[in-house]
Amino acid sequence: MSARLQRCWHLTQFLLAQALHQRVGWLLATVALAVLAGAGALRGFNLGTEEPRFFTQLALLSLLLSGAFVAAFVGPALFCEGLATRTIPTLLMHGARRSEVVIGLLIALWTLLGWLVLLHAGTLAGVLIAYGHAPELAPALRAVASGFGPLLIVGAGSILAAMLLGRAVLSTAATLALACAGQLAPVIAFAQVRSSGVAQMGWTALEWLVPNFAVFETASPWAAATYAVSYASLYGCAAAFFFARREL
Amino acid sequence: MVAPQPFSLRAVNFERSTLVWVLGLLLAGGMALNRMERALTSAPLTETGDGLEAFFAATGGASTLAADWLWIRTNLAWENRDEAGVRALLRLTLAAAPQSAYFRFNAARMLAYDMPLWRIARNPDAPRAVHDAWRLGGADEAIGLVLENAGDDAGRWLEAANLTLYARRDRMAAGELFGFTAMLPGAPWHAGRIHAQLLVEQGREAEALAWLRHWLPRLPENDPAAQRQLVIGRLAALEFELWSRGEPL
Amino acid sequence: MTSPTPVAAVSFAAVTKDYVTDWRGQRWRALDQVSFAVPVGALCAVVGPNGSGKSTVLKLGSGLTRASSGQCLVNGRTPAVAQADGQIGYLAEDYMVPAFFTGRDLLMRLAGVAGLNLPRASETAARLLATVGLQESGNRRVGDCSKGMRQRLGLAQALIGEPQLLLLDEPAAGLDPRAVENLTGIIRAQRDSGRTVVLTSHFLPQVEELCDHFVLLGRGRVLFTGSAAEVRQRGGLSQLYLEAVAI
Repeated sequence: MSARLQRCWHLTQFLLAQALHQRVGWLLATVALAVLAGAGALRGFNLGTEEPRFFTQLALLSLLLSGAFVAAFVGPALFCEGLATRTIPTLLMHGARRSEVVIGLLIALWTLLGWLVLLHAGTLAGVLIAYGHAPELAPALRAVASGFGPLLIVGAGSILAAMLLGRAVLSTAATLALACAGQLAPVIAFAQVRSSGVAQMGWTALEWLVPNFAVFETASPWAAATYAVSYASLYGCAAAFFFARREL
Repeated sequence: MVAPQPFSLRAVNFERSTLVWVLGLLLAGGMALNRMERALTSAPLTETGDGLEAFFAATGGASTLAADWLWIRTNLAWENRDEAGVRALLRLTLAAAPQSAYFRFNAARMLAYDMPLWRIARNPDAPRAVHDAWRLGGADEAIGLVLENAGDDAGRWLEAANLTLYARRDRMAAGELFGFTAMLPGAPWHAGRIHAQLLVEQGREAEALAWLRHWLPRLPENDPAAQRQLVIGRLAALEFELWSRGEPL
Repeated sequence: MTSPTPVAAVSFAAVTKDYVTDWRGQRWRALDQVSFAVPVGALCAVVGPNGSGKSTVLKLGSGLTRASSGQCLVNGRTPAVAQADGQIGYLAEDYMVPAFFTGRDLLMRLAGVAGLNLPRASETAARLLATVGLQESGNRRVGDCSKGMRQRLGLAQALIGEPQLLLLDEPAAGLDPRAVENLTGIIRAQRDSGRTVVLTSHFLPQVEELCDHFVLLGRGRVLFTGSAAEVRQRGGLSQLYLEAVAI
């Protein structure tokens, strides 16, 4: 393993330990319980053959909501607290490059979000098997896995927001706004088409800056994964570019 | 005037030109990804119409979640026999998920079977003609809902045929609808058999025989659902029936 | 034959540092044409009132920030290069050691980031804990340690990789006299082992006793730089400070 990879590995471990310290364990447990309780409540309705789909949608909703909140709160907290407590300058003084710190932050946050996806997949699998929908397991798990795409982008967006805005509250608000805007991307496209002049230029810029989460509904898994990785990389590169030029 | 300290709330800690570069990078990358996005997503909102459907289409993936939530609300209203509430919520649910056959068919069944029964139960002493008008009105509304932009969707036409048969109780029209459905791509095999059965019930054995003769070559031999042997048996029975009556075969 | 000119451990030549302070691009000058040199093996104190630029001097020396103009060198090389070579140890002002790590765990993780493998990181952590007198408390959570212990842990992390230059930003801030005494002993031992130490402080009597070289800053400018003997000639550090700052 090259020295740089080894450094990134240790850096990510360090930052992940910090992320876990944000009491995310409680959040994960609460989310899993919410999905279980929600599935139990849905059993009260006569949903027939649609029941597994309802369970899947419930898990997906829970994943997207909790994931957006985890990204919005943990990402900026990692960076802003890292600056406030001088942890990040200290890491830099031990040989970490600024780009490696950004990569470490991204991987730590994505790991956390990945655990959230696994937690939802596991909970949903348990619910489906318990209620006799085992044959529907594969499509349901695929649907939940597709939720990782938006979270990957929102996670990278939260780190970028933290770099640009430098304050946890503002960055959290910006990340939640990005998560909403990604969901409402068709509105931006609509406004872009309907407007003209300077307003149209503004909407076009916003359309380019904001991802469209509808892609994860319609595209094939590989295309959706490529799209998610591309957008997340774009945000990550912008964050690394900015951090390399920012005063500490 | 005292200059602000660095790292105060007013500090920005970077050159403005850096921000311009970052924005440029994001816009250039976003423009490239926008092309990919357009290739991967369905028609833009402007092409999907206005009104409620456009509103829900704007919410992207959230519309499915909204539809699920609205459906649960519909179920609660249904349990309370709140006709106005169910009707409004059904409209919202279908606007949020216009492609969902499950929501559309169940909405149609509520309109065709449940709502007329609720009205009749509330007004048991109303004249029979009024009861019939409610039943027919509900059935027609349901059939209209099912056939809204149905195109050649065999599932929708089959549901319309079922509603015509069981809610509207119009066996003749239902027979025609089953026959039409049977010819659509992807239609279930039983639609053709029901069409023949309804023709027989109306005393149109010769037409039924002609239909089954026309229909038989389409039935695959290796698909149990096609029930080819059953159709051959019915053909033989019809031929015998007509022969015994001395009618031309 | 002439002997080569000795390279200073840290040298600033007409260094100016401006920070951008608002969205209109307004700037605040933290350092203005600052020039001084710290000899190799010296224990140097950078003193001055709040906002005089002490922390900026250390950030420039550590390579964490870049000068707007002028030249800053560490052992004859740019700070970024010296830092990449592991020649600089840095203790940031208000460094808050993550509370959930144990002291040993923190040092091992930082040693890992610095490129040491697990056995070497473990050996380094044990040695540094002993250096700062925390060998008994290495397995305690940092959150359960006193402020003095945490500051010693902060100093220990700066010693990972055996740097030739130690930059300590307010290492004694917030410590009680006994903890200050403790820390002072460790810093003196580092100087005695051949390292160059540059620290900032507001404890003038302590740094006058501890250090052998001084840089006095005021409003981003060097008001005085010289050895302990020169400070004594001018009536002591406190006297010098009060005179210089009053100007």
